[in-house]
Amino acid sequence: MKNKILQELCAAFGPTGRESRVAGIVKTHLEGTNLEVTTDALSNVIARGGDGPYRVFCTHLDQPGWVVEHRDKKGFLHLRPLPSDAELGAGWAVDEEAELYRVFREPEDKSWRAGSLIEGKGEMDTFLVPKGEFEESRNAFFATALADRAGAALLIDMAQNMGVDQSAALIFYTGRHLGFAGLPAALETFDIERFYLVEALPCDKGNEGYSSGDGPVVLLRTQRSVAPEYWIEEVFHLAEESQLKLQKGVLADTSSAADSLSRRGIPSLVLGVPLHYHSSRIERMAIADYEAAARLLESLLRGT
Amino acid sequence: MELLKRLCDAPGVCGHEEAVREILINAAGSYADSVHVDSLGNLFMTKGEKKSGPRVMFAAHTDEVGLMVERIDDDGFIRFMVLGGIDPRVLPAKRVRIGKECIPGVIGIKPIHLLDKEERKEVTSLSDLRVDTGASSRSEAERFVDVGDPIWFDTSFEQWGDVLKAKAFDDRAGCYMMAELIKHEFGFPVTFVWTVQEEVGLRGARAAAARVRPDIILALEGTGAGDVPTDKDVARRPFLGKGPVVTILDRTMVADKRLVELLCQTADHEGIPWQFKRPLIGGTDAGAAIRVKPLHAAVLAIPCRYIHSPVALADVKDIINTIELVKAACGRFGEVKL
Amino acid sequence: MNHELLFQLLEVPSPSGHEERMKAFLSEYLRDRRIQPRDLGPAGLSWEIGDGEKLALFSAHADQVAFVVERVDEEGYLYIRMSSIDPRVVPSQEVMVWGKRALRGVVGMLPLHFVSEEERKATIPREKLFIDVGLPVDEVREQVPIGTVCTWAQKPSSLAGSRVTGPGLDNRIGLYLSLLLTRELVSCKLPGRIRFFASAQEEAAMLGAGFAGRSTLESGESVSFALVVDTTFGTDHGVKDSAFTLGKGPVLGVGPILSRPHLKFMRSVASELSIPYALEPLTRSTGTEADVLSISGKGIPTILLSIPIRNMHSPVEVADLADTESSLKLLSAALQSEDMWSS
Repeated sequence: MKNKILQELCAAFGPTGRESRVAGIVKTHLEGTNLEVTTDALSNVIARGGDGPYRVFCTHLDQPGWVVEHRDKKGFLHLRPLPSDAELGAGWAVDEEAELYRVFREPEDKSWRAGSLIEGKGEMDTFLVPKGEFEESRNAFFATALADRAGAALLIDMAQNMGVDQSAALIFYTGRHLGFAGLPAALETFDIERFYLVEALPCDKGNEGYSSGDGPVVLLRTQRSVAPEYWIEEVFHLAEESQLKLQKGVLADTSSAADSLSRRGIPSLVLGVPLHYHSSRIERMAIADYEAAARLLESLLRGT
Repeated sequence: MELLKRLCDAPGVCGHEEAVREILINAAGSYADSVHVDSLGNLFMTKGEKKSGPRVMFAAHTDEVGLMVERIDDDGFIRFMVLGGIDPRVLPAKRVRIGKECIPGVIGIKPIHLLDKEERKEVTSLSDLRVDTGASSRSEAERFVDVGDPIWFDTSFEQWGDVLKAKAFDDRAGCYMMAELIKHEFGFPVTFVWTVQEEVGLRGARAAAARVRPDIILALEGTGAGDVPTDKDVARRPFLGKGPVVTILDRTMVADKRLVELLCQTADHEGIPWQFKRPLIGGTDAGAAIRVKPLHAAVLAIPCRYIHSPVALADVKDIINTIELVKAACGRFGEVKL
Repeated sequence: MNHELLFQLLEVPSPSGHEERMKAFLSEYLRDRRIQPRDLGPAGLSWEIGDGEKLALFSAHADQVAFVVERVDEEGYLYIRMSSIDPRVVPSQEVMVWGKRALRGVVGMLPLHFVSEEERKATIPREKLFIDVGLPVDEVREQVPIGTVCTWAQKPSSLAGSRVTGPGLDNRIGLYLSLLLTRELVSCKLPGRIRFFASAQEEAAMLGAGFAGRSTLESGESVSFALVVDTTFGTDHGVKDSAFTLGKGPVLGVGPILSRPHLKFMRSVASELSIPYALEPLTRSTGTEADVLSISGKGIPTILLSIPIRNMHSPVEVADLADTESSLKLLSAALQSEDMWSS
């Protein structure tokens, strides 16, 4: 059976700064729960059950994309990628109205260009995202924006089982690809007991220390944050109890939301699902890892 | 424009914003319900505290890009560091002022006659540039210069018809517009914040937003105009004299879509010209504020040619239009579903 | 030393070939002191003090380096040509554009955000430099015909101690000495006549000096010697070789094309009066009017006295007035001495 929620999320338009559509989908799925759901000025979606201090599970909503910056003399659109190092490759892209564009890179200086399918389409300040694709095989998901939306799908799963007495909260924040812009503001009123960041983690280099198909990953450290050791022990203990595979990872050269939290004095733990072809249009994730992550999150929600 | 002249001519290199702050307190303080300066040097003025409606914060930064004394050589020449984003190619052969006593100095060059072919092709690196105060020894220079002293460009404000010439339109233009806006009556509580240390990492605004806790922030800025000659096929905008510049996106944030629409629609309605910011880079105090609490953020700027250099040009029409647009848009905040 | 006069001279624009404003200023200054100047047309201005058979020439060039407008583009930006100005010091300077009406301008640059890190490491070539006068294109075309000259707009200013800065110290400081000497010597008994030249087009063609020398040939006058006053390179943090410390007195040229007896005499006067000075060895040409004067007319023994300045041909030239003061003392004493005239 296909993962409908994940499919819907991967297809949703939601580049950084224009997350309202994907936020709307998330809210629709949270509506049936008993949680108190709010949206703030930055389109962050927050769902809470019970009172604080909270076990907070956090993921982001936005995906990489482009903004039209200029129409050149040949009629091509000059795009500014967001984030600036986005590597989404050439191919089809869509705007908020689902109009089609063909995105490519200028051979000379590698800057991003697009041609609109309809002559003259593509006003200044149009946001574009890669046209969504989603396929599911016996053992893997293949999708565009999978890295960005797997977390949200996992959190929506959790919400179905969350009770109001559980002192847990779910945060779907905006602006991840613009310096984690929405996250700090989303946190400001929280009394936090544990903070889990749910992310897809790249494993394309082969030297990450974790691999796809071997279960979810707990990051021991990121570029500027170190996970508290006893939290890690807790999570491994839980995984063992539930007979779940769990791997350790170190992404010492990758910035993460955890870095931005550390600076604000909030310790956090990154729980990841390994993913291949990160930031491409055909990201791949093992279904077994996704499902193990869902079960691990469920145990974490129940607590020790 | 007398106030803008005083603001632009005043020294205010990052971390040394006192002079600008004093001018603003004198010029705008009497229109405020309260005036406060925090420990960083941010200047706050409030109006209509008891009014209902969204709390709006206007922000403009008092600091400017400049230089700082790094050390004094034995022969009295001053090595310096750059504060904020400055293209090193604008530095040679400029007049500067240094420190509390506004000591004059010049950034020297090697005469063209003594350059070999290779040297002529090279950009003089920062480590080869010095400020010359005329002092011929370290002990002489130390009588009036200290390590850490600010150094700023010795450029005077002048008005050439509609065109204004000065240093530091970024962001004395914003400071000026706020000092004019505070005379206006608003239908909601407003805090005007003249922030510090913007050019070295949007620092003052963060603390300011935490203090004010606004629902809406509007940063008023001076931004780069793109209407200068280039062979590159790039967006040669915004244009000088063609109205306020609206930000969609920069390196720190995506502006609130509803506020952007409000600003653009209001401008159209009022017959005020406006334009989008290009390219989508830079960062402002609004980007710092959204990281403090959830709020609706937008940026409105006047276009300036040759920003972040010793001498820039702005257009008086853009300043007037920006003030008018802010007033008109504020009258319509009620129409926006935030 | 009261340097008000020097600052006045620095505020008079005098681009090569367009020295009219300077000539007018000097004429007025001289007439106020009952000295009648002679307008030499494109060659500059001259005036004389003293009397007698003997004649000495005293030349200081009156012009300054400048830009010339080559083209006005379709948006009204001015493109410029220049010589003897390093294009690297031009960006982001304020300039005067001497069009039909005097205009202010700034030398623009691509904004920071159009320029990559890589590009910032490259100098901006002359042909990419442009002046922005902030006016609509039609008005610019009307006011600024091709060939309009532009100069630095910086005003002079005092620095620490006795140092001053401003564009065009090369060679207003020479003109300043001419006027100070005129003022001081006009009431003195001199061994002969001193004919001062405020010569034109030194930076471009040495026209004024050529004229000065040739004119004596035509009139059949015999010239005892010629004195050229100009600027030379001052030391700073980056310039150490072939340069001279500011404030350590005038620099006297020594070399094959310059008069050795006169130099010897000048040095003895300096020693006698305890005036500090330095020697600048020059193997061939001096790069000054001495090159032209020394072989003009019937050949004129020539002395070169230079004042060291920093940052030559930029808007922030720096000089030390102590050097002007000691030069004045030295020149005044030498010119009053019979031995100088008969060396």
